[in-house]
Amino acid sequence: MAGGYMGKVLRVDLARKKTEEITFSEEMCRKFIGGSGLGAKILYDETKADTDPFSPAAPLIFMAGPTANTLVPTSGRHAVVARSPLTGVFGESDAGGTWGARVKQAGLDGIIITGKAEKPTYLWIQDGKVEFRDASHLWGKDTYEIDPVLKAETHKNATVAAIGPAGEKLALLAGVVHDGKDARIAGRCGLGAVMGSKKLKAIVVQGSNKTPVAHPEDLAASVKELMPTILESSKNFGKLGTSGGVPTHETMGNFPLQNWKLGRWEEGAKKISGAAMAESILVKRYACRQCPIACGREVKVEQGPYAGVDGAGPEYETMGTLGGMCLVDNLEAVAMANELCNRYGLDTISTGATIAFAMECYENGLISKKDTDGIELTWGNHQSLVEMVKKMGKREGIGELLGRGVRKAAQEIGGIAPEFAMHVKGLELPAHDPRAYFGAALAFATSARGACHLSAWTMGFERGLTMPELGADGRITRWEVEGKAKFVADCQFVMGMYDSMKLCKFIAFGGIKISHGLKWFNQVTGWDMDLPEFFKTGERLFNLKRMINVRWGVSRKDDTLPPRSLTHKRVGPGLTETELHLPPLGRLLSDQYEYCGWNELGIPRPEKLKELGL
Amino acid sequence: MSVRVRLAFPYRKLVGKEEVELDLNSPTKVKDILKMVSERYPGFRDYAEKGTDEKIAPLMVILLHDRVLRLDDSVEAGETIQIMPPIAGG
Repeated sequence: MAGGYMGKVLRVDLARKKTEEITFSEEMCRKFIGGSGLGAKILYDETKADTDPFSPAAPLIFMAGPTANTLVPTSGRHAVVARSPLTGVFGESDAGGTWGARVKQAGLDGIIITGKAEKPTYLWIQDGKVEFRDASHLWGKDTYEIDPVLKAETHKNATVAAIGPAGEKLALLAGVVHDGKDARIAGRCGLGAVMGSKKLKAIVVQGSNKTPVAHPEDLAASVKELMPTILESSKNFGKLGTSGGVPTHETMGNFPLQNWKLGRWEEGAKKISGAAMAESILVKRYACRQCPIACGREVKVEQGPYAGVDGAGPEYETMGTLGGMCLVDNLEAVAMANELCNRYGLDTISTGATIAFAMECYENGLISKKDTDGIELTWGNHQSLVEMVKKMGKREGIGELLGRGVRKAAQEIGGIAPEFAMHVKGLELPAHDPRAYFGAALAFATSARGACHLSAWTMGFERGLTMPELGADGRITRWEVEGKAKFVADCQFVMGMYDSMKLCKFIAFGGIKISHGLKWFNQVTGWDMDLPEFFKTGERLFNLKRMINVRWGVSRKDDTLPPRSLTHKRVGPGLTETELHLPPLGRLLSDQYEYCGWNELGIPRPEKLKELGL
Repeated sequence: MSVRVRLAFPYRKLVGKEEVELDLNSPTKVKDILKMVSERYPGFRDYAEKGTDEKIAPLMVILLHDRVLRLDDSVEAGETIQIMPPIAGG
């Protein structure tokens, strides 16, 4: 077996309390890599057209990457993959922290969960040994509460992946929370609800294994050589965290405001920026395993109505959704709403987006105080924001409905509510405006899991970041259409590889290019993968996810954007050129399908699948 | 006439103010503007004098209204540019 792989994936049947170790051939690993890619392959093989996301047979897959638990910078991530109960299509979500490295230390490349436990259960996995333990005493408790309890019951250096009450109650916006109050969350796609449907409260891992590395000296030398560049290039990013970009994105028309209606909000954006956080509630920076950048935040609120906040601080996406989308400029309230999401185990993106949707329904008289148990769901009302998160986390009152996400909530509310439901394939838009970046417009439309800012991650390259292997020379402009589809597709191939090797995309802020990442990957595995094979493998993974979605009914009709993103310009005073653009999605889709070898309905052609070995 | 340079955090901390005004009567390249700011405020030099767009891009984004500027782009007298963090998503 190549370096980077422990050679074992654990299959767990919760109903029968049985486990089995599965091995994958080296050829299979080279074709599908790990993380999201290998997870997708397993999902494809183990599901059918009628597999219900909540059926006991539906697999829930946790996969680390081959670089995890090595010296490779930013390799401490892992993927969670399943059929999404929120969207009904391919679901993947990604988390940093320590769990990815820890599962390798436990001797595994990943875990496939099937079956439904008879009663609340947690898994304790140490050096390959598995115990099914009763979790009745943890059921109903939040993720911050149970982390120290589970460590006390297992090992002080163990890492916990857990669901909160939202996942237990099958809220479709529930994620999987890792590392307790450091709260690294695989938030998107409702995969916490899949875990809840299996009555699995947590997976606790620990061990003493090392990831085998084919060329350890070369890897150490290369990392040492590049580390000064990484530290110098990423120093702002580390200092300000992801939310450092809030004012920039607001100025560039990318930051979501008032459920994507409003054009400018300069003063509000400053109040919830990474700079404002650094000067107020920031306690210290947080680094995921093997990350020299440390963009994570740890915050504390000691006074006022939101006193008690103590743990992971809000990221950029959270500022955009719980903040900008709801026009809440109270930083401490956003920090509280963020912490409540972490504790209940809710995706902050979908939660904030759904509350903004509800605020617009309230503004238009589609719901009233009678529906909200007296909560005034008005724009900018920070107390209401926090109360709504609690309702969604507990699935109480209107929180039950909103916990199903904007698409299902809009169907239930009826009338013109679907106008306000900002989603693609059922997944709520993250905090980036498809009107501000045409690359994002196309990527949101064609990414496998729905509206996703990470599966192509084009925005940085459309405003100056360079990546020579992608032809990103710093001069790709935001609204250019010619050549954009090829660029987006190439980005999807590359980022699919990052998601499978499990490199963090933010390593690009450290000046690290694709060739550097590939060199590290080869030093770990011992392979000689070149750039053409790297791109071809990424293309294979992108097409594999597409074929999973085709099985579940996805075609061109689903590769779209909400009407507001396609046909409405932003409104309000102070508009700049940005607010006046609308993406020509039809042209972009046709261009991408042609480049990808898909037919006019967006189905990969047989010859393309054959070429990719699918 | 002058060109105004508005600085976001953390650049304004290095310079000690939110806005710098430069007396310029003719179109001036961005790289020359950065040089002038760093000559006046040496704390900014570490960020400004990187030499290439590629090295500048991970550290700052330079905007004229909502348009991203490169080092060789020109700024007219009377215009205001903004220097902001470059961070994308998360």
